[in-house]
Amino acid sequence: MKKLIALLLALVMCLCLAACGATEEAPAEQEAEAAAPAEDITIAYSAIAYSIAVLPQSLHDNIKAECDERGWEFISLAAEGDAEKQSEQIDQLIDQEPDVLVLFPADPVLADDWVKRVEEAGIPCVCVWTDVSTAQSSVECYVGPDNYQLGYNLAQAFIDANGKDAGLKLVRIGGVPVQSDYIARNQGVEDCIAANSNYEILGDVAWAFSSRADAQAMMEDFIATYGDDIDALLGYDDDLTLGGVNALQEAGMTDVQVYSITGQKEALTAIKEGKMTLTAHYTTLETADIVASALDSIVAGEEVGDYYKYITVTNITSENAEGVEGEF
Amino acid sequence: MEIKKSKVNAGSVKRFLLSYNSIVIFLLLLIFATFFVGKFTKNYDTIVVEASLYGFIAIGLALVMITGNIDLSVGFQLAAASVITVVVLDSTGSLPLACAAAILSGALMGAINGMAVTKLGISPLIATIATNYIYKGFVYFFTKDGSFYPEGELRNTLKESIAGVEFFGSEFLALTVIIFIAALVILFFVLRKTKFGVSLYISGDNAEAGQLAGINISRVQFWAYVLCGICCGIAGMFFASKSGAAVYTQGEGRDVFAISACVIGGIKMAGGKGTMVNVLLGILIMRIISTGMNLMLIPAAWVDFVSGAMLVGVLIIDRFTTLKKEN
Amino acid sequence: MSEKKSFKSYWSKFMSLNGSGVFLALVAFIILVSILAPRITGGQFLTWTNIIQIFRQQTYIGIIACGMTLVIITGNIDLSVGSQLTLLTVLCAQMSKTMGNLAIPATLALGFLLGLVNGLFVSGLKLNSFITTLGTSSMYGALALILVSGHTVRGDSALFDWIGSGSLFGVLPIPVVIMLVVVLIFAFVSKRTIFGQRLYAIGANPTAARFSGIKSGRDICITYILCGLCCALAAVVLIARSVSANPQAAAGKEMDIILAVVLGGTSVLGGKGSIWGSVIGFLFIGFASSGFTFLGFDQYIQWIVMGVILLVALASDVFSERGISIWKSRKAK
Repeated sequence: MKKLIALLLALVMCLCLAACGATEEAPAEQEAEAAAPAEDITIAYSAIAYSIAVLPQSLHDNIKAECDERGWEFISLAAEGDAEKQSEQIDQLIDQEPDVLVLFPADPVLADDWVKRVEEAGIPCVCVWTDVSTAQSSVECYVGPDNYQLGYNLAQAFIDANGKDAGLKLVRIGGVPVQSDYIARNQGVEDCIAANSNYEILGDVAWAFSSRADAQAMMEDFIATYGDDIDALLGYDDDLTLGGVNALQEAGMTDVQVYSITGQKEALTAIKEGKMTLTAHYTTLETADIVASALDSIVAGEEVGDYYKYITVTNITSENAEGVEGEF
Repeated sequence: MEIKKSKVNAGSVKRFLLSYNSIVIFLLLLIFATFFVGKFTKNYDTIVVEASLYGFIAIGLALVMITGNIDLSVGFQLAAASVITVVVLDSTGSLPLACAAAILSGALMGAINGMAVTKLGISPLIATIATNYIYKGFVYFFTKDGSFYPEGELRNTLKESIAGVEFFGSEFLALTVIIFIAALVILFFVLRKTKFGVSLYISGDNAEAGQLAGINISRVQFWAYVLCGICCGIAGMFFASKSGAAVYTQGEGRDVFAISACVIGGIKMAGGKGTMVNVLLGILIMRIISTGMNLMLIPAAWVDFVSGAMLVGVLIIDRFTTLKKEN
Repeated sequence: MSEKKSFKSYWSKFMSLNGSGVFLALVAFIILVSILAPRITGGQFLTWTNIIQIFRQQTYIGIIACGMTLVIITGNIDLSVGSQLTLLTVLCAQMSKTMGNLAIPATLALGFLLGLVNGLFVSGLKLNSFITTLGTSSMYGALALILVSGHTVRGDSALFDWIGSGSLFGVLPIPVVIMLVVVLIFAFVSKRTIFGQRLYAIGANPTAARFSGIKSGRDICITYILCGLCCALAAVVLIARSVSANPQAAAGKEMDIILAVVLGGTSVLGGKGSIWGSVIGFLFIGFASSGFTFLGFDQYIQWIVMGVILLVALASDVFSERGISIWKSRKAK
């Protein structure tokens, strides 16, 4: 009973603190806002990932660099894979009252709600790398690859290089299975193969999450299971595809075609060495550049232009690999 | 019954603080955050709401821990219940039915855990790792193509109910918060005043003696798991409503959160000790840290680091306070 | 009459060995998959190359399982091995770029340190090992993200290449050789040294061990250090082969390792178990994963089936004295 009373006292004390804290903050905040010069632009960046993979990190750093160039303040939070956490982080970023919020969402459907919240707070929103599902009207623009098309074009390049009736068989390696960019890429590949060729997809996608070692092990399992039936490997991320390439090289299956996405340094080297056939190359630098132009327009109160600002994707093969620089 | 009314003096306050040392941590964090973290005071309501969402599995886990066991599958029980909510809503169009299904599925998963531990005799740690795989596979099946949500209008119904309901427009009075507080109060009295509640403590403290005294320890532990499952079912319902969808990552890492909340709040791993007050404090502490660090724009990895350090820290404090008590 | 008797006694002797039940399950599983696989996916499961491959894929689990076995025998646990592995692979890759082959001893030193931290908390401060290593797991995992972001590619090195892809006598991959050496050393230490006997004593009855003068603190600390060293060795092997390290790659692997050890007959209550049992355990997991691919199972089916198999394999005899000893041993702690 004593403990209960003490606990209640503690709770009451908290509530008083809360009230004090709230009123103390309010006048301070108002003063601060009145004093802030109108030129101070704050860009908030909410990303599903930063440290857990090198591409999100590169994207973050490039966007930050663009903001620094323009003298804008750049604040960011990354949820490292947790969609619920990103939902909270967006709330906390909104609290910081930025001028624009750049969003790299975990999931298109969840992002629909998030951008509506951002819109209600009166903050313009730009989506990067993953688009919202239906709430485009609440977003200024989307900058990034068209992931579905990326997968589709990859498969198409593969079909074009071999002829649509060649009856080839392929296996696939992907990253995090529940992440929307991988899901979209896979869908693109499946649709293209089904619609435009008589090829056969062997087995399920090997979801290696972020581990190249796992990708290699899964490729070895494919080789053990399907052996010489495998004509090609389609990978959705260079880092993981390279694991598959290792497995193929070790098994001596050097004539298996390898198609991949990203354009990493190691992948470009692999292409020059003949271990990989093609990689769809894009850069986060260009992405950040386009995002920055959009931000310029928003900040100046001008029209942003087209909603879909897709970044350039170049298919790199041994023919044009010379002189191409991988970002990471 | 006490004959003399004990006075609240310095000695008893000190003893109180030592046994509920999580209150000290909680107050210190709250004071620090209120004054030194910008915009923190605007987030009091968010923290309370998030406590009600994330905290339910901690409540359930606390019951299991009091009986001396552990449940590592709470995260994916939540996610599975979230999936069931969406599945049932989508196929029957009835929200009450979906809620009932979520709670029942939670009870079922808890029962499976309970059976594995009490009937199959598998150690709780390993048993719940194994069942976690099963629940994970179940969730993955539905969410492997992205977030899994009901069609059209049903999704709006889902989002506007449960997690979307607030009374008097105040987040402090959100439906999830009310249900959460109700659960806390009910379970507080169950643990204190009912025979079942007492038997939970006995199971963790001295199962052998309890068995000899006629308590069916296996049955008690089984029901603790079932209650835990029901809590996860309710939590899953909440999450499904909050996002309007079942997402795979709703299950990832929640077990570490639940265990951390319980232990930091003061529930002992060995069992037999701890109350709902401990759980509540632990949940609030974890949420204050998470929200506070977000507001300070500290990267997410540091939150994990701090949580891990706090876990170890609490154990160390505990070790020294028991030494002091023994002296 | 006497022939029947000796068969029965051999059988009961066999079943009492650590992991024998799982071994039988493993054999049954292999036979099943070998029959079904050609019909479903066309692959041949039981080939020499495939078996060597399974061994090679599991080496890092096998190495760490050895260290983990010793920790569990003493009645403790180390939940931080996954995070240790992650942190060490990332640091090893990073260091190899500036230090070259010196990164290997440096990684081992770091593994020693990480294990020492765990050991000091659990043995020195007598903290609960489950919660402590859960805490250090979060801390090590977070460190991996904080210190090195994205993926890191290790530096070029002939030694690393040899460790990763070389083989002994042209047949046994070096990682497998390393793992076998570790297994042999740990098996010898656990069964044939006084240190090993002390570990079993500590796990079986900590109070009695204390009264007989065993300084359990130091021994327990050593087991955690050994576990850390195993993680470091596994990290080197991993990075040698896959070249790139990612701060998320090994997250969650501790569950596989614990399962391997427990399947092998080591009890989490302590005092029972063996290194060879753990070998059977992780082989089971390795063959199961590979077998699932041969059967064409999707990822979710793999998880569900794995969970069910585990429950079945671990269900111990309800009427055994194990159940009652659970209450008793909890009291003893």
